[in-house]
Amino acid sequence: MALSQSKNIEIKGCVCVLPQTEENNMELPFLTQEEKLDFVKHTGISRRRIAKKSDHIVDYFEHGMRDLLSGLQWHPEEIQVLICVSQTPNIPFPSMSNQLHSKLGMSSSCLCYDINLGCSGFVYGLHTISQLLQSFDETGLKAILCCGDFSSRIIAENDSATAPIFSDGISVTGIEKTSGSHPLYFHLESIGSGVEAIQYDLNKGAMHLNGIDVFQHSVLYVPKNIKALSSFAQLPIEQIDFFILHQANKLINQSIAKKLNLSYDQFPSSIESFGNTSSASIPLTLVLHQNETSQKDSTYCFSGFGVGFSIGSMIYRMPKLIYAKLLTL
Amino acid sequence: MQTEQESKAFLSFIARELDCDPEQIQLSTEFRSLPFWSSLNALLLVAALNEKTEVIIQSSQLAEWNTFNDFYLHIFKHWNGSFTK
Repeated sequence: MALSQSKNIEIKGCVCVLPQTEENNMELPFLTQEEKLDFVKHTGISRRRIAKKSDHIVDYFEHGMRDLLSGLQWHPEEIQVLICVSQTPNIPFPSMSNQLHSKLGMSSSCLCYDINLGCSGFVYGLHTISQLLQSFDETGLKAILCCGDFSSRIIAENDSATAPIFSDGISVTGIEKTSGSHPLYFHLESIGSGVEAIQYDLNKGAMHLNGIDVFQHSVLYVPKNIKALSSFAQLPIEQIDFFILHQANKLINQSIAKKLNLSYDQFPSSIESFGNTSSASIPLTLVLHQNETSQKDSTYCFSGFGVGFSIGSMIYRMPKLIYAKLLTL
Repeated sequence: MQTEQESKAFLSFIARELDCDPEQIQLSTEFRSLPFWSSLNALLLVAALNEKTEVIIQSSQLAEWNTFNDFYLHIFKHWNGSFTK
């Protein structure tokens, strides 16, 4: 079950929406100058985006959806599946998917629900949507995957281990059932021993992140997960052009690259300017990378890992996105 | 049984990763008492030791340790290599 493939599914476009307000880690009040320099050097995170207290994450998803639909020339009534992946919904219910469905006047035939996942969520969301689309007979069916969090809402402001890492931000991805496109290969895993590595602490009323356990679970399990996926897809790791990993921190991603015997140059990154944007970090890095490259298509490995401890990796030979944009709100 | 040369090489490795003078640390040094010890330094050391030896250190183990000797014993319990190479 952990290894699977989806056929005739294509990622068409992606829009990311970030808050305008930027925080600079060199200006944090609760770290010494030396601690700030060390933090930026080793995590790679210089700046982050933080939403205003009055902002609602669902409004960011709506903004991104409207822009993506316009960019792809899709109409809201055409969308058959809408899934939001987030752990920081604006309200506990109704689901953000249902809120967006109503705001955009989408069809009653559209399937809507939310998935509670963090940093692995983009790959899990793609897996869910591709399996759903595959289960229908028709081609041309369209789906939207919304991912992201306002992590600042669940982090204690003066938590020096967590606050300098996370950004607020979201992504909206357009997916279509086509014919003849390259298969998507998935490897999804859950590692129970890491359930306490990142969790909501009811006493603190905020996220608790154990950096050492996150590191150990990432470097122990993610390279193995990717190697098994590469073998399943019958595609040697050396033939994968780019590895877009969840942007946890530079230390983890460089360690994973070393364990895969790969050059870190093959690992596009968005972490310096945007920090850890939870389940939006892979699509955000993809959008930035797509806008820099002129290649018509590339083989990507996406790998998301974190809270759970949940790991989702995917290999896909992806045609250049029709529409890829980064917006601020 | 590790040699004195091995423990010196181990301490040199630790000093390099913590960016401190090797003379500042001994196997008996209580790492939390060092002025430059921090959660980030702990993570960097765990990462560097993992890269060198592939040995995993869980946060629950680290929480019970006090000196660099605890790192030393754990590493050589699970690894047959040498810091002298």
